[in-house]
Amino acid sequence: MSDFRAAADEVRDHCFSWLVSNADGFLWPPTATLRSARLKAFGELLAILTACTAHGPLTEDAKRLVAFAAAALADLDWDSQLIRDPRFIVAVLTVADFLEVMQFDATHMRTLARRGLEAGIPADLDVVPYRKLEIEYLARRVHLGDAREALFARALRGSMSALDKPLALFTVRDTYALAHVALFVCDHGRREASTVVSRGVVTRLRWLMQAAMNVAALDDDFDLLAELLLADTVLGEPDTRLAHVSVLLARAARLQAGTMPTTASSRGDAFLDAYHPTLMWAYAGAALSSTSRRADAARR
Amino acid sequence: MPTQQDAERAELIVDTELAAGFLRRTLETAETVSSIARAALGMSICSLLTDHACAQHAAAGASRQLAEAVLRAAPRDLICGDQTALVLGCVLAGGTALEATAALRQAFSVRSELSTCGDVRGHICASLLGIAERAMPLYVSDAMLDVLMGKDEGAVRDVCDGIAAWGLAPTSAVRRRALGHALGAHACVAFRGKLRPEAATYALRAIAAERLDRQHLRDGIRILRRQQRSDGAYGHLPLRAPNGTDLRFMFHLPVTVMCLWTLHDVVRPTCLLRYAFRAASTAYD
Repeated sequence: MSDFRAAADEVRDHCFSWLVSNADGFLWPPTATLRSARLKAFGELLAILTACTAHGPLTEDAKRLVAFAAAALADLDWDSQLIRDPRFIVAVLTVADFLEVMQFDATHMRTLARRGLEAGIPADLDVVPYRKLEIEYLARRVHLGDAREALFARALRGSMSALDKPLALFTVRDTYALAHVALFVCDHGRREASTVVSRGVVTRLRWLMQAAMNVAALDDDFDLLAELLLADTVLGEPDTRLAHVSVLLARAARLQAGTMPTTASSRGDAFLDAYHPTLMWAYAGAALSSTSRRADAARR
Repeated sequence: MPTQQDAERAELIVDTELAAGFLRRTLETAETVSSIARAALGMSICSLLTDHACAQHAAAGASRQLAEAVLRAAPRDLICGDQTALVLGCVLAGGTALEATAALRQAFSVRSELSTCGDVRGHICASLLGIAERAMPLYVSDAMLDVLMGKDEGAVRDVCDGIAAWGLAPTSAVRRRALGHALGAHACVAFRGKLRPEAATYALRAIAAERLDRQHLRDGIRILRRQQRSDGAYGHLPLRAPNGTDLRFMFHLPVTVMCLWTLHDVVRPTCLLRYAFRAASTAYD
């Protein structure tokens, strides 16, 4: 068990270290290329840093990234972005959640989010079901979801319905959706899945997660493997053997530059190609190490 | 009131009868012992799946044709080609092919390596013929699970065939679940990549033999049934595949038999290999 935790810590630390060293890749100055992709990556960074807090204190590198991200927020006219693209509601809610959890002033972002929700943006969005679930999940997290329980339930039903097919017929997007559904239902490990969904749904999610993890391992898809591992962990009763093997594989696969390999096709930008699996393994390393530590403590 | 299960069984019987039609037509023009063996094995499986008198009659006819082909063949032709289909076909034929089975036993006896565990399928054939001991049930070891996480398709197939033939030693529910998922992943990857479906069939057979995971089997059946063509054969080819009658023997016939074999193992209570072992041990008593 201590080998596993040491490997998880090593993966976490090396990945966060790379993210700190390359943090400028998340920024979108006028001279930057692929600005939309960088903005999306920035949103993912905030979401992951927020999620990491569910698994214990942040490491020093993670805290550096929090400070970096908080400073970068002022560089964007969030109101304009939301008006221009209603899908930005996800980013606005993500930022509001980040600011609240990290104990910064979230007043403006919460106001912006509330206005967007009251204007009916989510209902008008033509997005896949799990994106709607994400909006309702985030709305609940920033305490704007009190009157939106039915919408959360509907989005969850839609998401599960979209996954009601043989695993062999899942697309890559379906598999990412699967991981996200579990992470939202469990609030990244802050609550038991059974408090939100029925036992049958929990059983189905656990089966899908462990089946999909084995496929991702066969595919050498480390990005997907990290997301599925996280989802399997937060659902409870995880496949610990596969988690151990996966962490050891991830540690071995980590490229010399400190990033995790990716199966996605290159966008011609070294940072954008590498950041996502590296970010996910930073989180996975933190979560798995924390879970292992808690399990050891419970055994003593 | 017909249940969902009744409806599924009815559909499976229709598929099987369609496949039997393809096998019958193929048998009419089959020339090599391997092709005749595959077609006869397929007919035997169809008869087990449908349990209909006419299917049994057709299977018996195919078995007689196989027995005659084996007795006509030179010994060296019996140990080349599809040994598993040949041995299984004769063993399942029972009394219809006693002499042919004896001829196979004689032909295989000269190959001492078949009695070792190195050649898994060879060992299975030798055991079915009574010239080698059956292996012990397999342990779900870390080594086995590591093989299944790898990409050595030959090694994966050996594990799958070993599980189907020899079974598993008692193991924890956690290990069984891990094994079910590891095997299921291979089936998923094979089906998903639009590869030839037989790459999924041996994984599904191993899951079925030990009833490791019902969901993987349900999903597998659903996709496997979509692999059947309108003429009853199984298997699909890319756009630029050559056209020609030899595709029936080189491609569709073996794929059809593997798919039918898998369907049998999923829906019947005893997998085909263990059914054959039981039939063989009765014959040798």
